[in-house]
Amino acid sequence: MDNRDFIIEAKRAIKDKWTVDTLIKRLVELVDQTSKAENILFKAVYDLFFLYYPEAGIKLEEKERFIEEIKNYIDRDDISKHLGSPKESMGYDLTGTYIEVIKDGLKEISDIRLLINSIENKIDDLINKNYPNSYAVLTGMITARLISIAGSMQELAMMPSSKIQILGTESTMFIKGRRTPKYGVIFKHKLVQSADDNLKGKIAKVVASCGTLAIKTDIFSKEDKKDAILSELNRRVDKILGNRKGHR
Amino acid sequence: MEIEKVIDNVYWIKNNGSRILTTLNFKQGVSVYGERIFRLNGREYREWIPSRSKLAAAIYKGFKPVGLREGISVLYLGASTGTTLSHISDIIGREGKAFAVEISEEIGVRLILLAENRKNIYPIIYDAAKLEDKGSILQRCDFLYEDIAQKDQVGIFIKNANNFLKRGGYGAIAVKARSIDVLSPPKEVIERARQELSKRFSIMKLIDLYPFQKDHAIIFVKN
Repeated sequence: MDNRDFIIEAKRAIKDKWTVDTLIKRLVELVDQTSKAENILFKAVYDLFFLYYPEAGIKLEEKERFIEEIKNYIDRDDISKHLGSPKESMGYDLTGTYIEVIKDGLKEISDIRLLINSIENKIDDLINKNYPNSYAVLTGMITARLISIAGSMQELAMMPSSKIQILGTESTMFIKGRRTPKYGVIFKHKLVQSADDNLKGKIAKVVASCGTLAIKTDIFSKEDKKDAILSELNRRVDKILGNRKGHR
Repeated sequence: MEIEKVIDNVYWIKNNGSRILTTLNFKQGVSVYGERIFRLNGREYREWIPSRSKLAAAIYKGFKPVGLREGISVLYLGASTGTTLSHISDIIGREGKAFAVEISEEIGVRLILLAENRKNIYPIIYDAAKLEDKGSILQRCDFLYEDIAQKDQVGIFIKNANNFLKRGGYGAIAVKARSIDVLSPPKEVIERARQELSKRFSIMKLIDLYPFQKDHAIIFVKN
């Protein structure tokens, strides 16, 4: 007997197991790893620049600012004019070709950022196409991260909202003597971000609750209930924010 | 160099006082996972590395798995990428059959590519705990080998032995103490697994695989 039938059957089994959730998981992983790579690269490029011009380097410790400023001027003279740092530097005097290395590194960082942006857009498109309700309530990236933690959208739909609220806090969840975290991946949601610190937990609870509704709708009934869920979310968030104003 | 036979198609190659475990290569000239190949007297021998394969570690520790012969059928649960499986495929030879069960699709790809090269490997991408669903395509086997990282791995082994192991057949289970119970000491976990197995099988040998594998043991049983 030949093993050909088994191979055909096994190949079919593997092909059937891939779903759009697997693709989303892989893309989220790609985004995470690429951003890690970007941070490492930035640190190395920054260190090289620090060797060349430490006085300016101290002022430009923030990543965004460093990239913004160094993009245009790279010479010591230009930077000192722009930032007002001393012209006489303690740093090592790098010549032209070595300054080029800093420039190339910055170019590479901006390329990586373009890549991350394009992947994030693709994830957004995927979520919007497959899970429109979740996209409207939770936005694309948060839904994708939830899927990548839970394994699949089907499993996510089986979870209670309290679990979805703290999904992504697995590392801090079981530390002895510490309270249960208030939010996990949901923290990146703009409603939670914009809330005051003492209300973030309550808002996260509401967002998770409405997000769970949206996820379950996407999996089970597949109806379009975006507007209903969104208005419910806004009503409950307003209630929390309104209560607080009333007390003061 | 000297050659000494252990069981069918498994040989020690002795050289200057050191010895290397090898199996006769089923597919000439192909190294499966980057292991060394020795050519002696016109035959090819593939090195069987004990730190990568628990069965090889058991043989290094002095046990002869007598149940493994040429021409038998083997049910292998948790085949993974097919490191140990490729050597079992060497042992059973052209007449034998090795049914390899693996659940993960990513690892299964490599397993299928291996099966395309070796005609005696029959890949099944399925959960080893629910293997009775595949009863229509599987047959009763002479040898059952299990190497899965599950809490209930002993229970799964007994269940599959009831369904797919011939009377008088042999079995080997790689007990992963850390997968069964993280908190209890490994020796206790292994002893518990041995007791549970002894209710159903006659135990041939329990081998602690240290220093080749940490917190692992392999138990050979007879049905």
